[in-house]
Amino acid sequence: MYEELRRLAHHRLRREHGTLNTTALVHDAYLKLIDVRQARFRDRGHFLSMASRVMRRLLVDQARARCAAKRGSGEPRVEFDEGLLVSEPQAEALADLDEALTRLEAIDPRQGEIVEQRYFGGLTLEETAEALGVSLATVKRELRFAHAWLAADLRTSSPEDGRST
Amino acid sequence: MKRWSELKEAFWGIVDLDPAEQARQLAALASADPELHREVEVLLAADARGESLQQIFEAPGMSLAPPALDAPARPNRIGQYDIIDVLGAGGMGEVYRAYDSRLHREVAIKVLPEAVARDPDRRARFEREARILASLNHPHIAQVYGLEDAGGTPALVMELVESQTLAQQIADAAAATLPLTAILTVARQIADGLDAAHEKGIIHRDLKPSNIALTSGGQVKILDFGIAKSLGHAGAGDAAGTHPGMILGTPAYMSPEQARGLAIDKRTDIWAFGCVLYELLSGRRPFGGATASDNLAAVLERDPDWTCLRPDTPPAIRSLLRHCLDKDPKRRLRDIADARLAIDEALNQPVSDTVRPATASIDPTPRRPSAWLLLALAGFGIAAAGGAAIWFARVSPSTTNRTVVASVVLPGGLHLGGVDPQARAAELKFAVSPDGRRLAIVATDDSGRVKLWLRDLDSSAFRPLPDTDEASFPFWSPDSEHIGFIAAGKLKRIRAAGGESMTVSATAFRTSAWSREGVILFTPAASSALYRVPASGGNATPVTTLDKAGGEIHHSYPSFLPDHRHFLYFSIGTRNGANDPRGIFLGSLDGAAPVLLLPGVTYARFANGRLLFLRNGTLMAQPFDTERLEAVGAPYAVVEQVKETNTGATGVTGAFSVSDSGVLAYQSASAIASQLVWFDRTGRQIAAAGTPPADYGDVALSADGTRLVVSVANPAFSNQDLWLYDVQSGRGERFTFDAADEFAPVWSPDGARVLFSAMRNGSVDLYVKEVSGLSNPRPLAVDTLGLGRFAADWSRDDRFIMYIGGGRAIARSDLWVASPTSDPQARALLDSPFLETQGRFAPAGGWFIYTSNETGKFEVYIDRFPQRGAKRLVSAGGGGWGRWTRGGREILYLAPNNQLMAVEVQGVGDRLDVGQPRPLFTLRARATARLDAYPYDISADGQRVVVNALVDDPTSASITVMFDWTARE
Repeated sequence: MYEELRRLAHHRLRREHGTLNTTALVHDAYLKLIDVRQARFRDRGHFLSMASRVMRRLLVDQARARCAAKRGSGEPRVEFDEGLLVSEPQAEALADLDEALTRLEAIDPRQGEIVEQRYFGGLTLEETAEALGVSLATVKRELRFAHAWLAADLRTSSPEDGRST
Repeated sequence: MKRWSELKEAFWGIVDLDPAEQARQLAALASADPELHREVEVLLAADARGESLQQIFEAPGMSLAPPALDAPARPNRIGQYDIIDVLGAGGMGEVYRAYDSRLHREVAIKVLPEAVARDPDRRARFEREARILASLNHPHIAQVYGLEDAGGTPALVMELVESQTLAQQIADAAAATLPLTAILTVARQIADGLDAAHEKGIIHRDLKPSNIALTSGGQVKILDFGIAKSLGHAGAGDAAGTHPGMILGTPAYMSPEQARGLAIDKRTDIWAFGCVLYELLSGRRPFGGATASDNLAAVLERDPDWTCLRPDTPPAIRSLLRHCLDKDPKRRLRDIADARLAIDEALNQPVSDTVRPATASIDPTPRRPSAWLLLALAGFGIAAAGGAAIWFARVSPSTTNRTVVASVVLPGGLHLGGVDPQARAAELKFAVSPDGRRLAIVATDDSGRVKLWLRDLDSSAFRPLPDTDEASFPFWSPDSEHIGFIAAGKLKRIRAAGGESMTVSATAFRTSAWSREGVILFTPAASSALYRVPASGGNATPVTTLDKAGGEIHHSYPSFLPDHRHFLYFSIGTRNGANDPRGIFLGSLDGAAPVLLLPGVTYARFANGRLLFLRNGTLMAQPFDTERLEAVGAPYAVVEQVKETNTGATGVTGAFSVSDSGVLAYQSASAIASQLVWFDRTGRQIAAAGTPPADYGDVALSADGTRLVVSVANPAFSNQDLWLYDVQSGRGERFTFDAADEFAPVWSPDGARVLFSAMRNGSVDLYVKEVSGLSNPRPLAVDTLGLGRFAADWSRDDRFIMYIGGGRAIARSDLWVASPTSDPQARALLDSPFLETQGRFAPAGGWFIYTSNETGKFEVYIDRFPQRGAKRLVSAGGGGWGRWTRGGREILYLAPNNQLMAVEVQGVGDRLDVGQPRPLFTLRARATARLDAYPYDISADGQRVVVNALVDDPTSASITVMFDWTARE
């Protein structure tokens, strides 16, 4: 399976005159993660957006599962480990963030994407700008607003006695 | 959503204003639009607090509420312990250095974070684990002494380990300078500690270099055992900085099942162990990536780069690493004790008698090769250490990790395979003996007689076996003493040592297999099932039945599994009147129902824990559990472009044979195949051991004529590598290992180094690498113009190297010289508007030859070196690829009609006389892809020519033998 991937990557490398593009290789791996066999990514930006979405789903699913197990909803059939991406204390915060982000997305899809890509996809500001096809300044501006909005939203949606675990 | 835009605009418009202006604007907004004003204020407040979503991703237990102002003060005393110092703090709680006032020793005390202490469930779980941990008493695990109560918070009292961790050592690159045995000893200690914990049911869960300390005495101490879980934070102390998107706990050591949130068990520790061992042996993580997302993708989908391991890594350790880092936990190494065993073997230590006997049927580590292989390696300077020695023990590092391949070339006049139609169609023209020492080959001589020939794999001895006329389908007895075959429709056997053949069965049609108990399986007729017959002769009885209702018509190609009761065989049926190969089935002598194992495959053998079969010309290996009789995990490619020929009636079969000892023989089907062949000056082919057919580019013979360095195109990776071959034995080993293309190899005068060019990132640069192979190639001259530097020659007096500069630009190439040291002062030797290439120094110095197209046609010229000015034509009527030989008294070159021409050179100094070119013979060399690539080289005495010759006659193609194919995983 990975052999095909590697060959695909190598053919790409060959076309690019032998420049080693490790990101391309990793992104090829992402293609498998997403399992979008027939997908055609318009460009790198499109690909990065998809990857961020996948990462978000992965993390949030883990977070929700951990929250569920912790609250005892159903016998935890699996053992969670701190080496996981999401530790227990994070889980709740992450799940709440996801909910808030979903709310934000509904109002302003682009801001939702920016946050998703920055935090879940780990993209740099430049990469986010590239992915969305906007200027760096726009990304920074939108991000600032989104931060404030999410922070405010999370505050109001959490119980008043704080959320310490 | 106009409202929304208004809100955003308002926010952006106000947020960066100075406070006075801000207040004014807000006031204005308050009267204009109170609702908007309220919302903007909330947002501004949130922005002002500076809360970042980053916090969610970085620190556990952090809410978005402002942090507490009063941090807990450092205690002075906890129980009987005096707190001396803070060793570390973080999400893990605090770690203190303390003094045990009762036992008079220093300890480490880890105070749990409040978050854990306050949750009764987690606290209870932690205390449970602490108790189990305390019962662990092992030299390689940081000891837990006890549990204390630090003002309501549990505190763990542990052994104080003040050494550097492996993380620090790897970061300092100290690990790279450690001898291999030291690294393996460290790994063994880690495995030992893990084993002790696993025995007690404790899993570490967070094993990584920063959790493994190495004392100055060289003793390993694993830290934070099992604590990670209870403390609710992993990854504290990880060097990687955090930024948005970087999730808690670098996933670099996370196993795939962890990443997926699945259940974990001790195999997760084994994965982490593999990561640590890889890092120790290569200096980098096996699954890297700048962000957590990259890491995750790498862990889930990518294979580690095995070429990064240090060159002296023994094959068994590489194999161990692959098994530890198997993404499928079911296929992964199951018990860390097996890792310790493998490391022990590599360290050549006696196996500890506390180790449990291995029960796994899969044998992932290569068996010990028999004594003959040790002798064979003597050619590489290895001292064989006695019969029971393990070959890694005293092996010189330059050979342990390289796949050794050799080629069996039939002597002139012999053709592989038989002549009659039946035999010719049979693919199995050769068979490796189970002990891996000999090949039985069906060959036809010039007079058309077909016989079995035996080729010793360690001595190149080749002899016919009398009384084997018309033999086909050779197969060996398990003890490697006898060979069975089918001749004239009869099943026969003969002693490999010679003698008379004996008929076992009067009718036989297809290939057979021989069991330990002397049972031979074979197919007696064209449409029949498999039958068994005693090897000593007797009645044949069926062992399989044809499913006639299902259209089965034929069973053949049996081969036994190690228990010699179960066997693989090929089944053919009919469909719509045409032959329909069904696949490989598993049958058994006791008549159990057959099981389809490999649909559509026509030929499979079992060796070393794997099923070997061909798929689309690639030889695949499928790990197979012989106890459960099922495949485990996914198949992987061993060799590409293996010859498979359509036998017409039965579909495709693969031309390969395998021994039990790791020897694989196959015919290469490389489309662009060439072969290195030796000729004498008259053009007669010399019957010397050849090298396997491959896609060869450059050929260069060492000055002493004992070794060749060649460039080989590697179809699997679309790159070129350099290989070294021993001229005498034909045995070769890979010389360069990375993904870049390496070519244009040039020997140093003393044969200890090779100068070559490599293309990386689009630029072609010069490198020098030691032949002994311990070091990496050293860059010699980096091309800054992007035009490339192609290695050409190295002067005999070791003062100059010559290279072709600008070879990547059409008609731009010039000759340059530089010194071979690492800071070459290059200067142009020939820098003209014309194309100059193929430069070579005269052996005695003072002159050089080169090829130029200044007359419009390529010709070979000679001129003085280093100061030019006495240029003369060497070739006549065109020529290129000039080489010096016979100490500088002769120049050879290739004329346009592929004739090899010789030119005598007499005299010295300025009184050099260049004679008339005389033809020697016509070379059938394959066309070179690069102008500067030489298709031939000549020995120093001018008597033997090695040519990169085209392979055209399939029946005379050689058999490639690969030793230790299991290392190709």
